[in-house]
Amino acid sequence: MSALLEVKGLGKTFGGRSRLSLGRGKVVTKAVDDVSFTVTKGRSVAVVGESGAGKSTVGRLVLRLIEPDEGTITFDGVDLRAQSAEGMRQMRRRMQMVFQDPYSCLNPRMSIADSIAEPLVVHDLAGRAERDAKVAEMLDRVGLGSRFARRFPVELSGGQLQRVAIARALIVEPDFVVCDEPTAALDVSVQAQVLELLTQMQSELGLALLFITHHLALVEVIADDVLVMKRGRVVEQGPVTEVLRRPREEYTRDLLAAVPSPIPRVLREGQPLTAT
Amino acid sequence: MSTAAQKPAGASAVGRGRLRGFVRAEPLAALSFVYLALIVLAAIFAPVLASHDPNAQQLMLRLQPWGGDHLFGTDDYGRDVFSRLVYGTRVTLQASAVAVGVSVLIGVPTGLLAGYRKGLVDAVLSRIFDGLMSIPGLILALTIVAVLGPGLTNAMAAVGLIFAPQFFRVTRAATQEVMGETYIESSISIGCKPTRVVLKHVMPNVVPAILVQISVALGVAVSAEASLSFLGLGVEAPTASWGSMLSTSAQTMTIAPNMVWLPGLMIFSVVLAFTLLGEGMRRALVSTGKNNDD
Amino acid sequence: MTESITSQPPLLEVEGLTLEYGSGRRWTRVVEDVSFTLNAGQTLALVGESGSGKTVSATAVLGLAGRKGGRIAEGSIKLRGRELVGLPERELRRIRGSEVAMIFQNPLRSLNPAFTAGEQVAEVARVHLDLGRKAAWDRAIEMLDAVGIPDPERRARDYPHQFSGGMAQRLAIAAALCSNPSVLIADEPTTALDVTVQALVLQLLRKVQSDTDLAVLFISHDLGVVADVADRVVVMYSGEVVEQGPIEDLFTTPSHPYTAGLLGSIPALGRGEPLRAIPGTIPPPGTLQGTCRFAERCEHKVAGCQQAHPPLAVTADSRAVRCLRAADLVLEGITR
Repeated sequence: MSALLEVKGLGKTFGGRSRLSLGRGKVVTKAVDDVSFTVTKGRSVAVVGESGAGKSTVGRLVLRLIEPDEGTITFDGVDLRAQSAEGMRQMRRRMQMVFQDPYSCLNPRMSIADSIAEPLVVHDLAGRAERDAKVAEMLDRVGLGSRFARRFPVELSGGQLQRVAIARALIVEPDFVVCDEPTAALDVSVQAQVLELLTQMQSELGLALLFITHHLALVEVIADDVLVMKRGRVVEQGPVTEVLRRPREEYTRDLLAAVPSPIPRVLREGQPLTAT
Repeated sequence: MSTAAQKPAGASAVGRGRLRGFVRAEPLAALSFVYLALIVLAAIFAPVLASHDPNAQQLMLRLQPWGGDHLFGTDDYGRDVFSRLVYGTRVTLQASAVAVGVSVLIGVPTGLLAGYRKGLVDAVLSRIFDGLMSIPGLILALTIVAVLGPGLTNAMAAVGLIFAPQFFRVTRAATQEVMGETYIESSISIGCKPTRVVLKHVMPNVVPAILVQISVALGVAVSAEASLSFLGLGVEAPTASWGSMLSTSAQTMTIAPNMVWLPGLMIFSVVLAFTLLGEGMRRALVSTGKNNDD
Repeated sequence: MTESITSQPPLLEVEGLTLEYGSGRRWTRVVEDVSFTLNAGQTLALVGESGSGKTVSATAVLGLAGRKGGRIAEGSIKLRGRELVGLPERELRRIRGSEVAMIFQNPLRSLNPAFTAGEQVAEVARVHLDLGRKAAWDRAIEMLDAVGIPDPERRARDYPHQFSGGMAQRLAIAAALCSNPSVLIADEPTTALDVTVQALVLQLLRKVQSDTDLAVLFISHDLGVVADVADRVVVMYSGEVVEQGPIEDLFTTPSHPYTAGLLGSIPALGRGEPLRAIPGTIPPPGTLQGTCRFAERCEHKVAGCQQAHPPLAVTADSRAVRCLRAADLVLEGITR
């Protein structure tokens, strides 16, 4: 079992002041501190924590959308931090990202078809006709259909936009996708649809996922391994079944306790229940 | 919550429905646009519209009143006021276009660069334009005319330089706002080169703000032309522009008041129309786009 | 739940509410024939997806339908037996904030960034409780303390942007409850918050409710959250009520396939099975006539479903469902 992505001692400090501006003194916050994990092909790792825990930053550091200060990131044997800008740009075909806010992750002035086809264009992967065919195929696979091709983002609902974002990320057949709270802005019913689509695509394409969420119940649905983060540091990590069933840390237990139960309170308090 | 219910079904603002929506929401701006389009047409077809040679002097027929052979009368050289007004439209609009063109060429690329690169580049460019803004406009114009020589084009290029910081600021602010949008990060994450990010993703979303600024600046340029020509820094005699007409007619104001208020009215109405159009576009463009976040 | 049978009118009674949005000659029905009652000390959840009409139904109670280009086409809204539909704006304004208050998904939007936390709350006290400056300020501190904002004396002097999401929502709740309203409309109050913070805010709402006998109209898309707070549930779909009933019945034995679908979508710990997503998307209100609006997404549909619009039929024990097959379907609910 060889690791597709191996992250060691990842760290990022935000702050400092920009040159030429008359700022106050240096404000330093360690957003991510000594984070290590591996993702193997076809598996998914979840990163959970509250807002401000640094979980989204981890996702961006791994893809070098934010430059890390410390640590190594090895992707399929390639040291990502050693890559030049162009080398990194080439690598991006194999590692994609799905963002939290579906309403702002697509250029409002580009048609749905153009947005989905863009990764093919920038990596020069297909001719015009082949591109159109691939876009039509992706639209079908994410459950939208080619009638959406000529529409613009304002015409779509949040759930539909997130499907477009998934199609855009997957059209270049990547090996690895970072999903940054992809369902946090969606209704619960639509969230279930998007998660269903993601798990289905994952098994069809053998994707490795880094799934970032604040919702522990989603971790159980989608992930194999989990990292629990608090204030930039990993407080607990391991297989999902281990961490959720037998949490070692107080913080993990707090997070677990906060997940709302679908059993109506009146029933829970009326009769004693066995713990679920 | 973002209920589709809160937006009327027809509000999908794309395509033809968008123009109709604009006309309904901003009737004044739409009217201004039609008026300005007519003014531009008048400038283009000046030779057809004008009843006389605008520069032909008829010293026997000085300061004629309204009507008759000369629709708006004649000026103190006996030139046809209507024809001069029509040809003056041409000169004034051209001069305004020069000014705004210069400021767009200077302000927009630098604004894009500053907004995109941030950091040192942004800081340096911002200080330069701050400095430019602190120089009194009229003095800068006079200096440039003194260096480059007189003539309306030079004067208006100077005006363009004065406007440039406005374009820089608007473009920079709009670019910074767009740079904060997730779709920019998304375009980088799929592997777009920086040039593509700027041209395909930033530019199209910055253009509306620049259009608004262009409209407003054109209005200011028209009045700038009038001021410069009034001071004798603009067109050289005998060429007519609204500003030069206003300037010459000031001397005969008591005898022939129509010669003052006709170019005055043109300047006033065109400046107002550009401003109304700009404001209308601003409202229309600000209200579309983000409507899913409530 | 025990429905007390009294001769007194219910606290809030909405009857046949129909809302239209649009302008000129083009009006779209976004909410049709919605009825519910809410009693003191009770929490009623209005549940549905974006576009189901749940939020507009609730804001109509505050007389705010007109603010966003809507109008009440039919129906009545009664507060303690008094008709609110057709009341002049001046009267409505008096009711808003004093008898009926509202909190929102994004608390910062309902707070004025130019005033300190204490001033926001004191303002409500001055207007609705007719208190003097000093008394209003004291009342504000008292409220901040009551909603669990630590060190209220000091925090009262902070501005809203200095509050975290959860603390800002507590502040919004303090401002809403300062005038002792009898009804609180809570529009997705925890959707923007972390799960841990959400749990605390829900806990606060429950505590306030048991202390003051407040009636809460809770709007949410998340049945998992609703399970934590509600006594009764009204499920809305495409502008109409598809099912309503006491929460324990509705959750354990849902009668409408849409309700069952929503229950299947709740992510919960220890479920041990994947989520069951409802396929398809919600049709915009007013687009489907003469058919069951859920039929095209329904796995239980039969030929008759798309031939007539099913009525909301009262079944048992104050339950009602809008489904042709309600009697013969056995749907999976939440099992313990």
